[in-house]
Amino acid sequence: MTRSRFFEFAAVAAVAAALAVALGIGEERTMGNLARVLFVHVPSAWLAYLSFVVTLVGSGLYLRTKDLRWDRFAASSAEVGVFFTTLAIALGMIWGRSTWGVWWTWDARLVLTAVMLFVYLGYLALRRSIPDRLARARRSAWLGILGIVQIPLVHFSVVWWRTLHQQATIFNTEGMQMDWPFRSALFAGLAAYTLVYVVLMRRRIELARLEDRFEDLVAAEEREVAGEAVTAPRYEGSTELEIEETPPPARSRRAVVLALAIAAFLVAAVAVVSSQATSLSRWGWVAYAYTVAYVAMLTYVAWLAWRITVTRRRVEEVS
Amino acid sequence: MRRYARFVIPALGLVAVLLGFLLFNLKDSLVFFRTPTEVVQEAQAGDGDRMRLGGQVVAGTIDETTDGVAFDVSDGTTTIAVIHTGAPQQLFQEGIGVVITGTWDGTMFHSDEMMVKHDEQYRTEDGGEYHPGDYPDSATG
Repeated sequence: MTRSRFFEFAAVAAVAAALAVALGIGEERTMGNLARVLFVHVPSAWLAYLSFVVTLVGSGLYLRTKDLRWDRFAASSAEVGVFFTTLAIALGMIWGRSTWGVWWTWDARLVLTAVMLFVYLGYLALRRSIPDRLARARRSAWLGILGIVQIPLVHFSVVWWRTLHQQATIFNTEGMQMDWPFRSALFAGLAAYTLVYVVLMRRRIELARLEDRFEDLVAAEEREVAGEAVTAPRYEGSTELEIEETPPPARSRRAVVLALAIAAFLVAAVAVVSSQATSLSRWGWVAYAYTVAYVAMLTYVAWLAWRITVTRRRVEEVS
Repeated sequence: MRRYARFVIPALGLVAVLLGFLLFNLKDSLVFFRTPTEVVQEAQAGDGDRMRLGGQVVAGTIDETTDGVAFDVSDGTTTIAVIHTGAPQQLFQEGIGVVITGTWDGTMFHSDEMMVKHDEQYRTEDGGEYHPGDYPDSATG
């Protein structure tokens, strides 16, 4: 078994085990079945924190070593982190509607989490806006380091301000106020999602490596065409030499249509279920949250696989 | 100095000012709801200002009314009588936390929006209480 297959197998097995525990244990005294949403919401939020801490580490190491592998590492983690921040907010909204009674409210924890999402979306946008690879790596590394201030802000928001959102469960000052069945389900979820993170990171880093390889090949080709006078666009400031940007190869129109159709279907499904919110049973809410969590994860995995395939094909075409 | 650095320095300053403002200046006013004690002490009765009131539903005080529910909300020190218009949330019950929005007339709180606030405690149905140091079997006593 190759190492990547091993991680994928371990992640799937761990998710299955975590699901069995989360759905198999008894009901919570106050919330009944609704408490089960905790076991997907909290692991998603944990991965958001973990991803952005990894982005910080990767950014710091890039600035120290100037090794682009660390830049790819940081950027990959930021994208995975944006995915799980979005998922944590979406699952939080489902849990909020079923327990608090509202999808959203202007509570400090909710607002600061949304701000964190937008700052890291900004990080991804910043990367796309800088064609010079070294400038892109350096600038996004600084943002990756600065962005970390939001994690304590988000995490301690429930302590610093009076909020609707409950206090932290795991790092509670009075110890974990949680009976054993719920603890085992929560920790099983945290372990399983951490393995999912490893799998997603390996794929995302592979994609980043292929993208950089494609850029290198295109640059090398241009250098051949232009002769020795032109240096590779890998170096900062080289854009003055007016290297023409190669247009990206046209994407398959059928794939785009298919992706749009899937997205439209998902949005419509979420809208229909949400509009039926008042008639959902407690198990219905749990099913809704778990479906959103795992459909989103599978969609992200499929999207990563598709991007890897397309980029690999482009690399092969150029080389 | 690089052109980019000229942009970073004011951006850093802006972030620092925002953070400082958020953490020190707004710390007291950024509350999501007021406690019954704060409402009784600070709120101007009858001025019609809408506010959020948060506390626990006192056991034995829930009465259904024609268009909603009446109950008492307490923070352990002060108790306020609440008349709520509209259906209560599905988790609404004795002893649970609520955050309600409405007006205070000096004796009663008239609310028309309710949110249930659940705490960070997760207990099994047979009433297991977790105490640090307990083992699984003794936790379900």
